[in-house]
Amino acid sequence: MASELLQLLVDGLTIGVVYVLLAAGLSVIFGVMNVINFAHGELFALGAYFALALIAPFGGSAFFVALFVAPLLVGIIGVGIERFTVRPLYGRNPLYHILLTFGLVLVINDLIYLIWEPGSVTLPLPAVLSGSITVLDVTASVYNLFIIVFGALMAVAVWAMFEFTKYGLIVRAGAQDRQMVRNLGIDIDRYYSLVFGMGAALAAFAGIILGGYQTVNPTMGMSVIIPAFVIVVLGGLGSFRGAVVGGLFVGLVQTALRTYAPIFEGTGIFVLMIGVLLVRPHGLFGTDAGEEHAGNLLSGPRGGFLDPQTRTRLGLAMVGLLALVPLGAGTLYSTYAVTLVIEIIIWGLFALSLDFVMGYTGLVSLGHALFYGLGAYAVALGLSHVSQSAFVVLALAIVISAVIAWGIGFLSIRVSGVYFAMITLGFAELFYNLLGQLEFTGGSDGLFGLSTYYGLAGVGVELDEIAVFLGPVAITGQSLFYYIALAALVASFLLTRRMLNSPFGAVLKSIRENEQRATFIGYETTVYKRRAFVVSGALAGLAGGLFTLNAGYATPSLVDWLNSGEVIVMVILGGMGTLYGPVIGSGIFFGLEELLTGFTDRWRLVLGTIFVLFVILLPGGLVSLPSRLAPALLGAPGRGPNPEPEPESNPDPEPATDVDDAHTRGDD
Amino acid sequence: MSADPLLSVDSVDAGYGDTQVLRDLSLSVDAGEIVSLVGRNGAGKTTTLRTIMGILQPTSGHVTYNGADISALDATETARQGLALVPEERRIFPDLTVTENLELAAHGGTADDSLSVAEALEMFENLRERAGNSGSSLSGGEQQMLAIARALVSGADLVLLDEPTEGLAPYIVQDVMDIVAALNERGITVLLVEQNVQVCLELADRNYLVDQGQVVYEGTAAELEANEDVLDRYLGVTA
Repeated sequence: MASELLQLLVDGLTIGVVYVLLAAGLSVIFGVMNVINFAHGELFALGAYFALALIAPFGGSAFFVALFVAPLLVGIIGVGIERFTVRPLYGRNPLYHILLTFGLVLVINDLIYLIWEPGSVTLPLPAVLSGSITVLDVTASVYNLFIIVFGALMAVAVWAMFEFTKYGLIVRAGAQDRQMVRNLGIDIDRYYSLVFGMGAALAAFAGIILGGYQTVNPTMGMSVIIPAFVIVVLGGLGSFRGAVVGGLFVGLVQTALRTYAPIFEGTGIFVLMIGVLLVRPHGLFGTDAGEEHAGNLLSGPRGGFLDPQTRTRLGLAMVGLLALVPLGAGTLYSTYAVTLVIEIIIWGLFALSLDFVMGYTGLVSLGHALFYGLGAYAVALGLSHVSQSAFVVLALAIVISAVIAWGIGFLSIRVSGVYFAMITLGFAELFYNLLGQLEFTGGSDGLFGLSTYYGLAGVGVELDEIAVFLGPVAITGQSLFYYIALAALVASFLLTRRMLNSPFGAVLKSIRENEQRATFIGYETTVYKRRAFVVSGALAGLAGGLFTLNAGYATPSLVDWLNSGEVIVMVILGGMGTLYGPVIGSGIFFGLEELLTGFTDRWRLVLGTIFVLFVILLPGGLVSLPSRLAPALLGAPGRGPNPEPEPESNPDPEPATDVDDAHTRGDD
Repeated sequence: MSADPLLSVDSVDAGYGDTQVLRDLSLSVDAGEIVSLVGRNGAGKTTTLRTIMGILQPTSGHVTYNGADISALDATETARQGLALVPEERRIFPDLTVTENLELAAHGGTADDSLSVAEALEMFENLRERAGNSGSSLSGGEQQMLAIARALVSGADLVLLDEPTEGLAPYIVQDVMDIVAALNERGITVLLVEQNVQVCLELADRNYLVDQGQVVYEGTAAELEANEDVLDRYLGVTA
């Protein structure tokens, strides 16, 4: 028994040390720069691949050289990333960084595929580190012990650097109050490159270590980034101590669960994270002092470049144009066009639902795929157990998503900012892992082979059996579904727009502008935010339900965090806080994907590069393009009340805290 | 007093976004003086300090320090010229110890640190006792002392003090006033924002009365105290 526990300890610590090194950089980068770095996992993978390349020509004995040279190289890449892509975004909303680093994930990951072979490779180890030692019935491989000792030394070195050097002092102070560090005459921006580079190097160390323990493969970054986020949040954003404790703890818990309760291996850490955040909203070692005002929300130009009448006409024309798509399918172009536009419409609806909560209340849900998946599974399960009526199961999808959204909103809206994003991500990952475990949802295969009819109480039709004839064109099957999806999108758009023009919407907008003041006026803002979240969840559920109705299956991959990331990308791409922008964003996203896959296998590399350039060059989203281009094209400034995008017109990159503002601006 | 003021603010407009707070505001501070800005909530006192410090940039007008135009400088650069802002909320680094808070300040500011960390701990005896404690564990009065000490250690010649006595118990207010007087004796110039008129009357050589983003009155403590009309109209205190 004792030896078994010791064995567990050795295995758990091995993984734990990897997590510590990975999470430390991520945490400090967030604490100091307010950057949520999704690309951290890819830098981790890059470390392993660089080591692989360095070791390959010389054999295992080059391992020790690679252990230092590869992190150095990745560190230099990190400095470059900060200097050329992250730096232009300082002072803007952290959401820009999500889009930016999401783009970087695509770029780096695809580069790995481009340069190295796609499968798993083992990292050659030196002879000294192979073999194992047995002490008191406990067998530990030399490599594991090396990891634990070496990792611990690294962690101590980093800690000492933070604790005892001028550099460390400035970085720690920056994580607590950046503006005050500037007020003291310290150019904190100069330290950012170093912080980012150091974080990247630590991630690379972790990548090499894990690569030697398991294998090196292109998805290793993707699989490790979510646990790393959990650890960072668990320990407290920006806290090095938190990253160390959280990393070791999660490593041990995961190993113990794998041994004793494999069912909970995937879900355990998310339950843990959600639980900790509910009790301590800033993590175990976090302080709320480090959290900054959310900054400028990146909404599209309000009022916009075109007057309302023209916009209504444009909208109607767009819908009209979309309505024509199925008519030419099979004759003017392939029927694939209908499939593609259905995907755009469904994801457009999904993106619209996210915009309703993100663009109008400032709540960034990083796990919105949860509701998409809920809708999909509600439809799938409804079809097999409740009714085959499409309308019944869609209603079921909406209701279930709304109820779960209420529950999650109730639990998580009390935490704010990045913590809210993380807690929603936690719920989504929890659901994702549950889906893979549960029998009645079909496990990791999901549910498929579903059939439906359109009607109620057994009276209705199947889309394949009927056809509507418009002159020479017969519309049937998927083309009929196309109109159902389009109607759902238009109805959702009108519904949400109607809500936003109501007093309810006015409160939401005031929350977005300044939540504290909305509270001062007497609104219970959490209630309003929760209502918005429920509406958003319900619409996302509708989108997921439509997907399953059309595709005939539901799988856990619908809830993958990449989907949550992609839908945020669409919202930002199109223009947040506009409702129609995200739909355009969806069109651009799938359009680009479609276009690029036709040209190259490395389309994600191109797509990622476009995102990175986009976020640096066009921060207001695509809908801001007309008012930006107007002066150049027409020779006159764009009309609209706010032709200049927000960030440039604000001279203060970090607005004062609310209290401060209220004080100065108060008019009594 | 010398011919050229240490700090002069000339016809400055400034504000937040579309909201203009300062309208054609002018004032000057000579080396070695203690000058106060008094006025009601929302008059623009804090905004004046933020604009001098470079946290806000003036939309028109100039800020001149030591004969050089510092209007376009940001907070980091102004701090290196020898200005230090002690903000209203004090903004002590909560997870750094008292000593670390001071050491950080020593790394910033001007190159010649008139006061070392050790000397500062010598000067502020209640901070010396708590040197190893974290900033968040300090009382309001101790935080205020630390914020002032931090400005000294950074090597500032002009300290901008925003409401140093706000929220402090009366006997601690006296401690803070003593410290302000003590730094002035060390040759440090002070621009003080206060709502407590008594503090201003006692400490300041000259007072500016700010209302709706403009200077509406300027005078010595004796002059201000004698001017019941001004006291009543702008400050709501009847002497």
